[in-house]
Amino acid sequence: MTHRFALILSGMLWVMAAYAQTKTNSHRISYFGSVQTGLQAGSSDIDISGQILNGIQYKSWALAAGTGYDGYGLPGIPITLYGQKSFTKLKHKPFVYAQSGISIALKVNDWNVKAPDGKDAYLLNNGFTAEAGIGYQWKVGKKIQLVANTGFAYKHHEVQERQFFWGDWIGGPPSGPDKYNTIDYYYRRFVCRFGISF
Amino acid sequence: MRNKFIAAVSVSVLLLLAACIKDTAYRTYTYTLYRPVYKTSDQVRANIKSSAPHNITSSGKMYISGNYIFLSENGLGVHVINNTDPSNPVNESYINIPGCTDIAAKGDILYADCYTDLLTIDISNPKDVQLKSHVVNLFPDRQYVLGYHLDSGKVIAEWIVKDTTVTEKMELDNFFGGAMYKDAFISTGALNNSTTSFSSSGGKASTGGSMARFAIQSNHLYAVTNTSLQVLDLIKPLQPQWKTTVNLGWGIETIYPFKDKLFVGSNDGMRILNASNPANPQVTGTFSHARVCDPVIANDKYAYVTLRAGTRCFGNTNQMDVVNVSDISNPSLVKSYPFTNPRGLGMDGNVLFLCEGPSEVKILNTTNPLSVVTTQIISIAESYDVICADGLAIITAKDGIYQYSYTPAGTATLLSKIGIVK
Repeated sequence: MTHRFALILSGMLWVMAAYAQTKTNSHRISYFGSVQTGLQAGSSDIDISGQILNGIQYKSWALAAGTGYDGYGLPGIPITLYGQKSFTKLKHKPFVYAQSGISIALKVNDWNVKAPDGKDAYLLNNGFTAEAGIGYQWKVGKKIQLVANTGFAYKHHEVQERQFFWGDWIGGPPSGPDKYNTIDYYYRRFVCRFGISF
Repeated sequence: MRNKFIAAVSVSVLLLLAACIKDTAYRTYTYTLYRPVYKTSDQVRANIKSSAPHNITSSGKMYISGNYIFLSENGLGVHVINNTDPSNPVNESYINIPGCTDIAAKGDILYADCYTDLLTIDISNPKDVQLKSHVVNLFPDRQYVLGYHLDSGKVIAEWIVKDTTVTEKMELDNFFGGAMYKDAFISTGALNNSTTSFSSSGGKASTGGSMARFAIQSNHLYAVTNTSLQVLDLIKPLQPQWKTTVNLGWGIETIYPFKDKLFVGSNDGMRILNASNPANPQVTGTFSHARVCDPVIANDKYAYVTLRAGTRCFGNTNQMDVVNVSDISNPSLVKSYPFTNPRGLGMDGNVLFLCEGPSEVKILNTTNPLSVVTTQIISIAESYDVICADGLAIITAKDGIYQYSYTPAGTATLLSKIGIVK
């Protein structure tokens, strides 16, 4: 269900991005948009990453709101504020970028496990995500560039994990209400994406 | 020049961050340390008397005797609830019994375990109960509690409880980075309670629950341990006499008496004992199933067994089996009904109450066991067990004790609730 939501959201942003291009004006502040997809790899996972950016650009700077899908570790939908600085005015040019924001946890796969009594084994909290890196863009049309970038990404999520309890097995004192462990996951990995910007 | 410098710095920083590519996780958990306070058995027995009513902090096994509900507070004692008016039950007194989990009542006498021993308590005046006798070492498997061994002559009178919070680092090196305990057994804690056994022998009518481990029938007290059935003669009710031990195998959980039969639930099946000789019941039939928890109730022809996965029950089967027990030497499955996570159950005629899953109690009509139909669903969070008789159903749940009146057609109306105070 959450995957479907992410797909619908991504599709809507894609349409918005395409529509927004038609609104580009002749002022120095203009529309900035990008659609990218790629892979991310770290010590415990390899998974896909995709994001859509919509914002503005001014001279060599760009500022945008981003969202997409981050499947690394605990999957999430990042909603970020994205900044980019390009270095030359050539058709093909390098840039640096940084973004950070919240990561909306997706209750899927192993994270959607039910305890035998029907309760959720994990309660997921939304987390923090940040990323910085470098990229290169090649102008292939009047307002379209191919983009490749790579960066370092960080994500933190807090998860509540139901405790295993042995008391009722061995007839000890009453266990009381449900108890949870808190697990803080810190994911640090490389991200590599390709796409287009406009 | 400046741009090249920034680009070079960016590349350098990115390469340096390569050293940081390491996922980590920190698990913070609070565990409760229970430090036992030992007393001699004599000291503990001298303290077994009525006291002012205590708040009910967890609902354990229940037993109905006359107008009273006896409700064990797991490991701590027994609440005495005056239920003369089921619409307005009164928590009347409390009996401090360390190590008590199971109880049974006959007339004015309450039988309760105290770790390895069985206590006989005169409850003719529930506000002033008297310990009359005890049988030592009837439940030898109870001498180990939370890793502590009860030395001869000593019991754990109370626990000093201390919460300790610890944070430990976890390494996420499984390359799949996700839930690390996806297949772990996860428990909600002590979810044990009662069911419906009915004793018609002598004095006030007494009824236990389907998760009861004590049952009284034909002037005998039957108590199951993890591996056996203990049989005690109650000809002298204040002085129970041990008669015999019947080995039943590992994983014994509950006992339900019906006429001259005993239905024993275990985590690998149901055993049926012929108790026509009450002092020496014999295993006559066995109905095997997957390894799960299974309280059982029965009538002349059918036994109803709920199979529940989870906690210590393991397995992944959640259903109610209807078993033909007309021939107790050859019980046969009639039909299985799927449920979410069925627990205790109680039956009165064709009305069957079933504690189901995390949020409801179902009332079933069993007129045709091949086509059991639901007549009402009551919304109760985490119900454990139910006793129903004479139009009154008493349900234990995580947040309280509920009482419902019900009709033979299987519709129920809430009368009262005693809340649990954490």
